[in-house]
Amino acid sequence: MIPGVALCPCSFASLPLTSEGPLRTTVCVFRPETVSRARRGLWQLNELSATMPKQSPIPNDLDRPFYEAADQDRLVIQYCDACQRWQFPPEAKCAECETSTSLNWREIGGRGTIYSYGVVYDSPIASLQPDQPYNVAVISLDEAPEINMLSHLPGTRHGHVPIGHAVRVFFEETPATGQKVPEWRVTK
Amino acid sequence: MVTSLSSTPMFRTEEGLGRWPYRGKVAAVGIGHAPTLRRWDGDPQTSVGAWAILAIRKAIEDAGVPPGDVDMIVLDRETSTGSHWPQGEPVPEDFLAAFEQTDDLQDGLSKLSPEWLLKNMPELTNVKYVMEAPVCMSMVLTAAIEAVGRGTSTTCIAVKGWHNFPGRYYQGGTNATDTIDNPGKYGLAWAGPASYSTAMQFERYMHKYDKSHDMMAPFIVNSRNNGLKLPEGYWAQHRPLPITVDDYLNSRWICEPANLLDNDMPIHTAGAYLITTAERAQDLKQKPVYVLGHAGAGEVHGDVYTGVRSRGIIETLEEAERSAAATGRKLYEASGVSAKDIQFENAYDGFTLFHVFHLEGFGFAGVKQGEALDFFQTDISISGPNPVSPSGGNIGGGRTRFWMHTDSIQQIQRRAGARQMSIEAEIGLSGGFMPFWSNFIVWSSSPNP
Repeated sequence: MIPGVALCPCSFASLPLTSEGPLRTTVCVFRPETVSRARRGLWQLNELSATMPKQSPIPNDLDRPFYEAADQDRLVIQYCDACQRWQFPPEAKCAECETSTSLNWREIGGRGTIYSYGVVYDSPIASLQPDQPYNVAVISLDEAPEINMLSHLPGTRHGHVPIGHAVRVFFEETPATGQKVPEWRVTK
Repeated sequence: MVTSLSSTPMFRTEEGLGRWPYRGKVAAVGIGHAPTLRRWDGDPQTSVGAWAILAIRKAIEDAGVPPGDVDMIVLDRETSTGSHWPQGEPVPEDFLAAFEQTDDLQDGLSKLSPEWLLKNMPELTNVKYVMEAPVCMSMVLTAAIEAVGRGTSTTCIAVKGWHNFPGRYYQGGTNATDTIDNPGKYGLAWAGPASYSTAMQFERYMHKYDKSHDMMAPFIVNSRNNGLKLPEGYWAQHRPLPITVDDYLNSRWICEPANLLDNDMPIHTAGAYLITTAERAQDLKQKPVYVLGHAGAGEVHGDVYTGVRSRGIIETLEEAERSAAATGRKLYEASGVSAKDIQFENAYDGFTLFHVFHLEGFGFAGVKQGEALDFFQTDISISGPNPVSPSGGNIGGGRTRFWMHTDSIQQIQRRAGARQMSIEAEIGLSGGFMPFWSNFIVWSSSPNP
């Protein structure tokens, strides 16, 4: 048993402890979506560090290197050697020189800084609704501050996002296809 | 013979273009609005196509021109507020029977083509050109103004329809699946609500300038108050209830820091304007309101007009601020006026937080970056010296992105009714929508102030 966590009798989900002790729950009150997720083996015992089930991206010819690298726990994005300019999201040409000849995929360090965030309470994305409210932080990459990515910031309670704080990338498996995608956590 | 023209060359998105060559030579002389509904009620005569026809006819009547004088129509083919016709559901027979149809049976129901309009408006016997402009009335109206300025048209209709069907919008399609193959897969699909990007920018704004969300309250209250004085708008027609500061502060979050009242409400309606030359405008029914200039934010790639691209996955506050400020410079350069000449502003507000960026970009009432929320604590009403959003915008009238143009024209014509401002308005601006993709117009009571 992990401290601070009790196992639900249904054995599919963990329940957080109250300050008075374990929740006196004998019937699983978790939502069906949560149980379904637990069945898929994605539920993590500490709710605060749990990742959220994102839609699985379907790679195409343009972005396959990005997703293949993510499956290998590496962050690569486009770089134009001629313009010495990072580029994300992927495009067929460098947005600066509008050619593709100098555009390559290059590994970039997985450190970033929280630029800003919002807390979502009413999402139209069906797969995210069970986790409302949730954070969506904008991460500015340390090696290319003008490039940003979005993160659910697992491990950070909603609404308690420290703007300006350092974050580090990890790679999260998405449920539908197993495709990994970059995610970010606040560094200690 | 009707010729289709591209709208892409009609927009002024570059800095340094100088004075608009047709300054004071183009005027708005007619306004037409259909009624509003929250959602389509299934009656063919309230379909978006039917209401676009109604709005056009009202604009023509308002201007007092014979329908046969209209030589050009500019419109946006897209009419969705975010809702789509249910997949697999047949188009109602009574709708098909009520109108002449094109090959696309959704025409007039969930989209609007110039062909459909011309088939169903036989009185428009002299239309030589049609033009499609993307996204919203600000683009459509700007393209119409430019076309008249260039001499392509003498009597031009700008029309925009919005359909809204039953059900919650944005809930179907890719959003309901567990995979994604559109560009949202790079991260935007992890956010959700449409207001996310603006909310995120506003969170940064508060962090950067040490402000708080509750400082938006006077703007929201003012917008609804003005909207309730807009008889064409949804709230005045269907839910004539003011908003209090407490209502705003207690409204549920959609994407904090954007709550329900920071989000505009999708509605079902249509609006149209009649644009003509300054010369032709002299002997029409309404007092002409002259265009001094127009400008916006965007990029032209071949025949495609897009918004200003952000460097990362999402536009930052600083990028939004730069775009808004650049639009202000371009607009003043085009129109030959400066911020101190602008007596009222009707910038886009759906989502409300956009209004902050636009207002600061234009430097309205001397407001600089980071100062709009303090400015909102002063008298911004129609009775005060610096009226903000006298139309009420999308917040006061429902999501159309065109109330602000209607109000600007009516204010200068002195026929804004209960919304008529205390100041003697001679010059004002209106436009939208977002800082990275916009078109704004400077209106004037005089062709050469």
